[in-house]
Amino acid sequence: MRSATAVAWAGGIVAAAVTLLLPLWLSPANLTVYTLAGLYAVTAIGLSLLMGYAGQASLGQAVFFAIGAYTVAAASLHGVPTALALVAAPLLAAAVAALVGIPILRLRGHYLAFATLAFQLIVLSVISNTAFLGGGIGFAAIPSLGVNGAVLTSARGFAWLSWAVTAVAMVLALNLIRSRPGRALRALATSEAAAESAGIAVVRYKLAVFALSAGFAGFAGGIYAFFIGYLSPDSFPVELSIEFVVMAVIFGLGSVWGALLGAAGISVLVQVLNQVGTAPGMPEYMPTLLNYAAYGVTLVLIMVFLPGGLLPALRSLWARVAGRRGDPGGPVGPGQGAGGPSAVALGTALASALRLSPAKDAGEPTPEHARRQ
Amino acid sequence: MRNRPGALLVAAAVTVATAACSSSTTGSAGSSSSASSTSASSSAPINVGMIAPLTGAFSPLGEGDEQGAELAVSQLNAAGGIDGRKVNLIIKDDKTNPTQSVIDFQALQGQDVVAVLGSSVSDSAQATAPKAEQAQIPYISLSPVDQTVNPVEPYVFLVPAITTTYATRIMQWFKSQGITKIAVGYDNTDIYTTNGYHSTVSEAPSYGVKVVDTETFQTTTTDFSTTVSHVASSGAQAFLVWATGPAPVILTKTFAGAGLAAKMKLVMTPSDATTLYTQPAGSSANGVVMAAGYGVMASSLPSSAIKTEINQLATPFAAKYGGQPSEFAADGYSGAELLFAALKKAAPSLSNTGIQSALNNLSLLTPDGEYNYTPANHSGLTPDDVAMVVVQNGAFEPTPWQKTQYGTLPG
Repeated sequence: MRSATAVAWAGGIVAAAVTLLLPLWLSPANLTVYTLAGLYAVTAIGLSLLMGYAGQASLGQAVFFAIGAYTVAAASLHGVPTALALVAAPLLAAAVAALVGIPILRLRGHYLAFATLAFQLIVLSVISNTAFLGGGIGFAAIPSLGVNGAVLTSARGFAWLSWAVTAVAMVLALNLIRSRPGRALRALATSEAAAESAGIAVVRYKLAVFALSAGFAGFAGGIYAFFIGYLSPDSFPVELSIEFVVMAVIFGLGSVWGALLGAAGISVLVQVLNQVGTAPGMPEYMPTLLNYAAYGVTLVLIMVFLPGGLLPALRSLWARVAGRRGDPGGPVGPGQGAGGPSAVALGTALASALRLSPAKDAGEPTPEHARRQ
Repeated sequence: MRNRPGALLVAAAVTVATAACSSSTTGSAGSSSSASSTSASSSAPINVGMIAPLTGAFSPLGEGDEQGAELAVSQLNAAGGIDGRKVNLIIKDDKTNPTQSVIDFQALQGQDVVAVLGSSVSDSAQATAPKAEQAQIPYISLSPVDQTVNPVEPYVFLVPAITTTYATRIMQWFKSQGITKIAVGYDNTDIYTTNGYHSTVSEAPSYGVKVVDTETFQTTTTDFSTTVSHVASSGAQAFLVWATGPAPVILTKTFAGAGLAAKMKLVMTPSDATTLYTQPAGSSANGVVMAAGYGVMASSLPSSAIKTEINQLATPFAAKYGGQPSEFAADGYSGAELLFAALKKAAPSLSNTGIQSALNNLSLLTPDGEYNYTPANHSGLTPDDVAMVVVQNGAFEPTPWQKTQYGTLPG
């Protein structure tokens, strides 16, 4: 056990060092993707807590990202100090989530997912028609983020900020799931009735984790506003929410590391497909083919063949390569697909996320859980 | 054995990721030394960037942008290029999304482009133009957003006319028709249409025109019966509509269905001077008056410099892609021509400042009209570059008034 901890620490330190050093080496475009990946990771980690641990689906997480971004833009354009605006972003996003969570968290599964989706559409529509929030035209020329006269404008600075926030989100999330509330969340994901009878304040916990995930998204959105410098309702399409779900599930739902890898992996995949589609000599239909078909097919294949996500599959692959046949983590191999969220219905990550009925999925410990227990 | 495909997939994914990483490494190798390196080799191709919505909601626009620009590039290269160097057009897809447009711009920056033809998506233009200004890379925007050139930023130029230019031309036509009372409808969730409304209101008084009714709607509005009944009872002689996409089609059908076409003129703006509007609107669009580029009525134009210019685009376009070039193709083509003219002026040293100052004092006739960029005016078109046409059975014909204006044709 000791050596395992040491390996984990060493791995963590290497990962942190690579994360810190990457911005020195990346090109401007890759640096932007890297920065955005960090912001998406923060959001996906929050979503992973909500979906993977608490068993509540959200198809509207981009709305909290948007609320954070709009808080920053509206506040700083109206003269609020930018650092204060950034602090307000997660708070407002969390507050809004807590408020709408009261009615909509009574819903479950598909119903909750669609309620969150509807909420996003409503908010975007309200923004479109509110002059104070830039209307459909959006906010341009958002001031630079600054504290005490020092202004953050460099791309590298944003990359470091984005990944520092990601690190904080990781630590918060990992500590949360190991704590007493974390165990309570997993219990309520398994069976709300059982959790309630064990004295867990189900409603309060669900609201809290929903607000927390929204806070994560809001903070990421706040940094996004400073980073890109322009917002409009079209900056936060429903596709973004779906992308967050894909990021949270693709490497294995209910794993904070999985969400991190998912955000990084999907961000890179999307850019690679975009780059390949517009490469010289490519026929005109290639961008469409790659952005929709290849992207979709990749997700479908992963969910069909690796319904538990990439992380468990990689782990079992590693176990086999290392010659350790009996994986101590339990049900992780792709062979166990039948027990997981069956991808037969729609075959996509999205569908699989939607099928997440708390009683079924969370009951089976993911390797992440298994490792920690 | 069920593990096999999974393992294969993982292996494939890892390979792809590795390939991606290595390709991005090579891509970034020369990125830090951008502008000046382009003049290093005298025969190396000149990299020109283009951002276009090839996928997503605006893909019909992006397709035209791309076709027009590619045609201009192939014509230029066939004619010997710039200073003996070929132009290499690097196209990026912004997916109709401002975030992706910013990423694309930075990717182009990393590929040593001398200038960028910006996306026709207004959100993308607004997010990206400031980045181009910051990087001091000439940015020629294909999106009709007045704010990109007002106030003037040194490195940002606009291809479509600003809404004031269109509004002025429409007012000239109103005046010629004796129209003094108009209703205005506009999509208040779109920047082009909102700007159009404000330009209308500010230009109207100089032409003795009064706005008697204002109607707002959204890009996604599908029911215009209330709008049309308001307009019907407003006493207006014309209904000027600033809108894009499906909304103007539905509005046109509702307008015609209410029998209003006989009582007042329905007037639309260049964003609807496309088959994307005329085809779904069908016969309801007969008699609708539009402000548009001369390109849409090229076949009716008398022999002129602008007609020759338009045919240089339209003839090869029809041969290569079939059909008439859309306004977006004309924008892509005109934008590319403007840039090439500036590059020729600036050659052999294609520094950012050299290209910028060439664009800053450029006069050029393109299919979109005659541009006169000056340090104080990065829009360049005037009301004379706008044609007033009328829709007849899906085609754009000159209005009788337009025929009297051939003396002021651009060029």
